[in-house]
Amino acid sequence: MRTLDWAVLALTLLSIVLYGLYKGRGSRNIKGYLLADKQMRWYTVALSIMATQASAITFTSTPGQAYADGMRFVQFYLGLPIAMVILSVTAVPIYHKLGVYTAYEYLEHRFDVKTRTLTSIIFLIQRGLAVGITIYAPSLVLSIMLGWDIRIASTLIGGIIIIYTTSGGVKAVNWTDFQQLLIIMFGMAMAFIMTIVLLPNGIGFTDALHVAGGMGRLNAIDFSFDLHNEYSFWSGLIGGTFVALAYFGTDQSQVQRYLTGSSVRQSRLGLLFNGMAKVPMQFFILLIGAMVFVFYQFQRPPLFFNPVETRKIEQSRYADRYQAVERRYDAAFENKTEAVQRYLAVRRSGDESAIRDARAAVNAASKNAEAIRAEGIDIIKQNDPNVDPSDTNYIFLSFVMKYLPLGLVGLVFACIFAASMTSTSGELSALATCTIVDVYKRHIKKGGDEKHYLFVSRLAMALWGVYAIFFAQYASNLGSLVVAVNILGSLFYGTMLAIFLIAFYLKWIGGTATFWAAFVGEAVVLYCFVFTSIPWLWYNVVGCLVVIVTALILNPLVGKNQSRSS
Amino acid sequence: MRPANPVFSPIETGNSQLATGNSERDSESPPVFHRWASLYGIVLAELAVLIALFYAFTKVFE
Repeated sequence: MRTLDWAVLALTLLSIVLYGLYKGRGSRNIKGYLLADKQMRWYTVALSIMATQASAITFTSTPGQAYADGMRFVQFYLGLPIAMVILSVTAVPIYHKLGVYTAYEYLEHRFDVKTRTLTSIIFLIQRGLAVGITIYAPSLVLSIMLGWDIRIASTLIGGIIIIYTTSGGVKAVNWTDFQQLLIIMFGMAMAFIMTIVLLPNGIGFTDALHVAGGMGRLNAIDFSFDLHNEYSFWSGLIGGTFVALAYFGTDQSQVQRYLTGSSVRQSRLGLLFNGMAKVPMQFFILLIGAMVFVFYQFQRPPLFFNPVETRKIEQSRYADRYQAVERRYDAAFENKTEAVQRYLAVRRSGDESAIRDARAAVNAASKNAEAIRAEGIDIIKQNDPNVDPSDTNYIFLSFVMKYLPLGLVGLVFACIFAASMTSTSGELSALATCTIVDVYKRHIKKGGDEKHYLFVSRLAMALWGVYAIFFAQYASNLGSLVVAVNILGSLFYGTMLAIFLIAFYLKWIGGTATFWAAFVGEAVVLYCFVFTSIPWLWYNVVGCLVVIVTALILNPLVGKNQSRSS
Repeated sequence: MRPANPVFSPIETGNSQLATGNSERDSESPPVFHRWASLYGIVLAELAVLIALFYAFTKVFE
């Protein structure tokens, strides 16, 4: 990065932190610190919800996902609007009416303290693990920029975030989310425009779409029903609805966002706006990845996008072998580029049979190049058996660093840092809230004053941050970060969702039956994860159904008088 | 039936008035379409349109 990029990055980050501290000033009690005094308008709630979900991972990993695997990942979000409607009808009025601090507090009203505590602890485990990945993502950026070891970078970034989150409180989190999402969308729009501007002369946007589509990167919708297909319309619509219901309805990092709404109306509008904007936003981010893919059909991409590993192999005893593969990759790339240009020329002629042949030639050339790339990755693995063979997370950043103009590189990096700060601060505040409200104040110290609880809330936030940094040290072995986060969530979301569905709709089922059913459901999900090949999106459905069915069976055995609100 | 000792009860946290206020505001209509059901319908209709567009997008450039 050059001086202007550093200046843009530093100024953007400084303005965000100062704005957050300014907006978050005056939180002198726990309600102000953890719920922003319940004064937020719908647009702040909406953008805060979107910013919390759209972490740095979204902007580093998702375009890479489209580059490597096409746009089918967008189907994962198809259930989200449905979930937003369901939550607006059910959860929002209940949470507001009870005036709760955490979603799990409601479970004590409905069931009992053990069910509340269990669910809160499940959240703490799951979100505590995921927050490590959200700290790891921007560390990845820093490691690429400066060539640092990623573990040192994650420790440094995590430390900065801890300082920022402990001082600002939820009010600062929500307002900076609002500001940052606008900056992020501007930066990503600029990056998208550049992917088109940088295409060779004579190749327009429509041509680029035909290249991406012909090479299987615009596969946004797949109606085939296959339980082993990770991303299809059906897994997205059914599994995605379950994930979104669980995430937005039972995950405190999201519930806390709309609990800050000044009324049911404001919270509902925030959720519904998210329901309308999220799917197009994800589509747009994936399309950037598809465009980067097209760009690299005309510009030779690195054999392996992870620059640290590339440097390592070039200095190792495998360097000669690797360079030989590089030379073969050069030739394969040139063949592929010629095939793509031929395909575009034939496409303009309109001869269907010639188009099919040209497309087949492109895909054959692409397969050949991919096979050579795989050989290169094999050599990298021989040099370091612990290396992550997936370079998905580095693809977009590599493109940004090499090809975007002066100033824009700094802006895109600022977007990624900003996104990380919003999601991590939101997650840390949610973790601290649950630790204090559901565990500390409920079970450890009941009669403390506001000052004490404010102090321990800040302390909890800092400790969760340290824990997250520790977990982030191992995130480099988790493959695509965006998938890793969602897999982690899916191990627990089904169980959490079932507990809330029983609470909302199956009023005759009591706390004890639900409590034990949660253990059974979690055991089944973990069994599926370890011993079966069921795609992770279905864990949510499996976990949810097992808990509900088990609770229905257990309820008559443990007594009907367990339900409090029935 | 209410729980015996809700630790962070609305009364204890000073949210009881807020809760009452929210119940009243719950009857407020949305800023557009005047009924929440209509707004929910718009959200779901947009989803259906997006799915159709994405499918067309997939097929056209396949």
